Amino acid sequence: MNAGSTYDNELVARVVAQQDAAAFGELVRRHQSQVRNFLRKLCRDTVLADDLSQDCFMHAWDKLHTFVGHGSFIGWLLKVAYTTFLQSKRKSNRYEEILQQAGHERDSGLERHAPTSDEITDLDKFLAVLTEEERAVMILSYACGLSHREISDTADLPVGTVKSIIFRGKEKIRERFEISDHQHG
Amino acid sequence: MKSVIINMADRMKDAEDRKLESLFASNVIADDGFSTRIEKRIRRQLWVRRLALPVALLVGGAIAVKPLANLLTALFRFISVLPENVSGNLGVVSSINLPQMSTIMLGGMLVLVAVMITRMLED
Repeated sequence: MNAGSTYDNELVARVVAQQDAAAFGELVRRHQSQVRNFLRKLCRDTVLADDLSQDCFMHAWDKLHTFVGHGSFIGWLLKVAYTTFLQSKRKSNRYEEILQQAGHERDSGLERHAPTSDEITDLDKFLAVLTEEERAVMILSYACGLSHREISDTADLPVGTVKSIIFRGKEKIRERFEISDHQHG
Repeated sequence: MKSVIINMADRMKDAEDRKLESLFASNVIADDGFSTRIEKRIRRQLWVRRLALPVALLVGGAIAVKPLANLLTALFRFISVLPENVSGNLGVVSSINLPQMSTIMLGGMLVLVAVMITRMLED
């Protein structure tokens, strides 16, 4: 365990024992960038991703007592973020269904700020060929740097499935793109 | 041993992995008051939670005080009347002396609320 995760665990203990908002604020400061980056890549919508990040941290505050220190805190936090994203997606899908039943047509809430063609990066093109699950696993692996085991915990998938999803994701990207020259997304 | 091998396999990256990593890499997002906003929301939530129970008790108490007084009065009257009727008329109690159905229901609800509050306080 490195010094960073020890400090995280100390802060978590303070939050759980004393309901210390300042200690939680410190945890937010330490990890907000990673959580927001993860959700931005997953949603491909900056505004929505930041809203979901806020919700994620509020859920984390409520559920912090369930973090027992197995694995890294960021892994646990990304799991909360992924669950928040899935819940939001489910709500948005349900909303769409109701609108369609009512005869309305409207853009999905999760894609309302879709980037224009100028803003689309290579990464966006790569992510577009992946399914939602593949996208989440690939982001957790390559953007967040989680191990297969940590991704398995975060996405609630067996380690073998994680490996096959990564393999399949790479295959898809390889089939369609030359992974050489690129711009950062 | 097996897990060590699996972890090593996890860490072994080929050139393609490294390219993908650099492609997925992103800049650090500046806080820009994000954590302060979360902290404020949490402090607000803490205050609301701290105030919710006393306020609920106060409001509930204000609403319940009159029916509770009626219930207690009826209960005392019933207790004082019951032994005379039981001995004199084989347990037939005059309906006037019995508490009304609404009072019994209210009493039951109050007991339920009391149990719930006790549990909350225990938590």
